[in-house]
Amino acid sequence: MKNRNPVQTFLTEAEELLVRIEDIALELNPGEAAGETINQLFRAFHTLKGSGAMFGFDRVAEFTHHVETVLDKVRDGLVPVSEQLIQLMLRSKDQIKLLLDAAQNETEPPTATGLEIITALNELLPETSVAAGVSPAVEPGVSPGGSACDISKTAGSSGASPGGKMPPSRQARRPPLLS
Amino acid sequence: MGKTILTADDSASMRQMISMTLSSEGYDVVEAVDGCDALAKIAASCPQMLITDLNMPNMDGIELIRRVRALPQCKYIPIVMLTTESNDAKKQAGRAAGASGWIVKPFRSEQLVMVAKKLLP
Repeated sequence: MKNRNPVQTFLTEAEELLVRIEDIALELNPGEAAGETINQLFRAFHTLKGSGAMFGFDRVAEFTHHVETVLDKVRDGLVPVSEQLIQLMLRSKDQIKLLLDAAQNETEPPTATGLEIITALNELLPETSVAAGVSPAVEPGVSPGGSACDISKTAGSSGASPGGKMPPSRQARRPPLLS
Repeated sequence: MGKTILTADDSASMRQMISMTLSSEGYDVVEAVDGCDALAKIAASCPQMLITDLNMPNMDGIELIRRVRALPQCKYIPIVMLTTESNDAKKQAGRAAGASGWIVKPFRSEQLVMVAKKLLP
């Protein structure tokens, strides 16, 4: 059955991704080398971040960015698969669920747990990369590269409204390419 | 004759959003769930434009771009990759593989339409 609204599709997708994250996290063993399982875990969080940001779930995107940063280092072999990492993946999954529920119910999500998880995630990172873990995740923009730079400039001046259907938080921001 | 855009993304909500947005502008949109799926669908009939996510299972966006560029009938089609800001290395890899440009997520539907209209008027 197909939802007609992409936001509903995202919520269904998010539920499936959270189940997948739990399954994968429970399969992981401390000390194992990063492989396809970690890639799958990374992709699940990456989709929650990217699609979450697309459909206005900024808190989900922002939180998930921290998880993704750690998993990126795990993929690169810079952070080991540990019991702590596994537990944090499971806690992150629960936190994302809370953030999604809060967004749907238009209630304020509990932030203390989220900050606690983010702090614990950052502690897993090698010293030099902690600063890079600060989230730029929800900045929008179109940045075509190479020959497409001209394209975007033309496109930017063609009068497309920054208004439209997106939430106000996004309307205020201009794509970086337009400078 | 309609202009066909193929969009490859493992996120169902992204595919739906892109498809709805571009369809409403008169483009024919073909959806693919990953790089392998996209390549199979491109082999059947080359679209006039490709919009691809980068992080996908089976075959990622970079590999897809490389393979599509190697197809004689797709050598010059516009290829736009969808990426996140934190992916600078990926952007460079995408350009090296032959992407025409990228759109950073999250983007507004209007931005997608602008880029499509510019690259595939």
